[in-house]
Amino acid sequence: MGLLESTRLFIWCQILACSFFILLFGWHIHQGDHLTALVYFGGSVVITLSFFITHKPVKNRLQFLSHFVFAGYTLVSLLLLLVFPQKNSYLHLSLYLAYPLLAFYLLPFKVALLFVMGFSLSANLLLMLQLEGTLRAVYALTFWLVILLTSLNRFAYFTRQELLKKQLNRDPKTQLMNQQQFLIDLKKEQERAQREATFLGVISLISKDSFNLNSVKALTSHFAPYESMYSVAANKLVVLVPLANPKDLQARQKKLAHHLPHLTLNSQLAGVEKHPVNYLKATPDKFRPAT
Amino acid sequence: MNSEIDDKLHKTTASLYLALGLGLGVFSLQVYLSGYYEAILLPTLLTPIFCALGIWRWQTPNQFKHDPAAITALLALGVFLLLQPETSTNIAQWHWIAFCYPLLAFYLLPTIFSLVFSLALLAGLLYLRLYNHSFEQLLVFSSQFLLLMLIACLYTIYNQLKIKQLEQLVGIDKVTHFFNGRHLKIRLNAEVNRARATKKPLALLLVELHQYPEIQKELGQLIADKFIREASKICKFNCRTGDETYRYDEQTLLLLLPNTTINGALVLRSRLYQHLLHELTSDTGPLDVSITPMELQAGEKVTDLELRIANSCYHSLSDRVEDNLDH
Repeated sequence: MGLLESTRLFIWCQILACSFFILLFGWHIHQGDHLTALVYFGGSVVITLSFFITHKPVKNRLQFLSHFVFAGYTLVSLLLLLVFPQKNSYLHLSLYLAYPLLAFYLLPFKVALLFVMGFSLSANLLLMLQLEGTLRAVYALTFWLVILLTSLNRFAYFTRQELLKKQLNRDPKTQLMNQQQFLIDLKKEQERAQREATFLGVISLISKDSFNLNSVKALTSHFAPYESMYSVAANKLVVLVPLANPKDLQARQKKLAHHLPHLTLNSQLAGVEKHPVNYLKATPDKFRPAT
Repeated sequence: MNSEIDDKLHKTTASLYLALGLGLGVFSLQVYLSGYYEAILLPTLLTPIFCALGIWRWQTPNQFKHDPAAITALLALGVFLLLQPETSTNIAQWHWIAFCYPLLAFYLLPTIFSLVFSLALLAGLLYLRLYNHSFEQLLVFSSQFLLLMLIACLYTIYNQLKIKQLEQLVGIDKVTHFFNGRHLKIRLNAEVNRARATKKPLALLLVELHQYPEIQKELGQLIADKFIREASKICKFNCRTGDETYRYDEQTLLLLLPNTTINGALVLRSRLYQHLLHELTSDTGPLDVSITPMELQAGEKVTDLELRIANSCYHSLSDRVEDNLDH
């Protein structure tokens, strides 16, 4: 399944899950069970917020709100267990089974793990106090099995994601090569320049705002395809320019300054004796790590 | 490192099968001690199946898109949840335990199959276990089950989507640590333009390891990965400063040689061929490798060069010939 199909399926699943939450909320309101209805309402809000977080660019406030709603959802779920421990137990069980999945889906791995651990301990304590016999055993075993499964599964995905992030050679925001790749390519281009008896210029472009995909697309037209552009910070790009003559670099900078007046330009000739980090110096405040 | 993670993953799955086998074993013992002899058949029958699945997965990782061990486990669990007789009033709640099923299904088999299995189980539960419940109860139970299934599906797709998005940005092949085909497209465009601008030649070598599919099929993915990794190390060792290395497709490596004529490429080809013959061993017989040298032609566009590279691969050529013969 391609990325686009997965994204579509993901959106459909979000919509369907939200619909089922709302359906069960309505049902419990109809039954007069307001506390359970509140849990389902919380679930629907959480899914709706996650939908907007995934598909909207402005995330910070929404993310905070989503965490807040999820904390409320957790509290109401525990309250439900405290107040009505045996009433419709299997319905409540389904809510508790969904909890770790929702937590790992919505929150960052470590925060989700804390939430799940806290919830599991409290829920288990309440179960021990309020349920009896085999029912208690079945309830607790099922619950722990799901917690263990979900945590292991999420951990596996988390490790894979971290590994992929380490292997990334592109900046997700601008789709340009990142700082890690710049350091590798700089060394390689320096060696190539030595071998071919040519020169290598490094031009840095600094903007007041962060670069994004559109601004980068507009910039690429000013450079040849073989002049590789790298994103080394949120508002700083570096371009490696192979040169036949060192004097060409000044002319090139002047030309660029004329076409790109909104950017601050710096240029220098790359030399083997210079440490690669020197080209990244004077990195402005909005530093973006290589991954 | 990736193979280490995969190793841990399949061992975790194996542990899960073993834990399920153990749980069923304990359950059958408990049923035996309680004297519910009619309920002993299924857990006793399924215990060795789960143990065997556990041992199988521990020994060998899954090599298929739809893991046969997971399919067997899910089928067995489905049968158990549907047909296991109720043994006491307190524990006669198999439909409760069935709530775990979609979660387990998406964990073991993160494909469309788990959705099918979960829906089939829901239908089975409604028909075999909950037939004496009222319509309202059935409706609420189904909604609960479907909600859990959807959340499990959502969670699985979300994780896979994140991985796919990251994979799209990674330009390095995880086995050989060479640049991948996606990165080659960008670099080929840059190098062709550079060759035009500097009026310098550009050559490349296509290294095809013809035994790779055979090794993959007969000895497994891990050995095939090791084989191509060894080959890539030899290629890297023979490259000169400024040369770039790519994994063109599953069995083909590509060396991009800037400022090199076809004669230079031929010299490198013979040196590389000797090194590969002496240093690379194949478990499926004498080494079968072909190295095709190519040079950028005057006036040739990037797309034409890409097409020429694709047409120069012997394995794709033989596939095309077979296709033509079939037609």
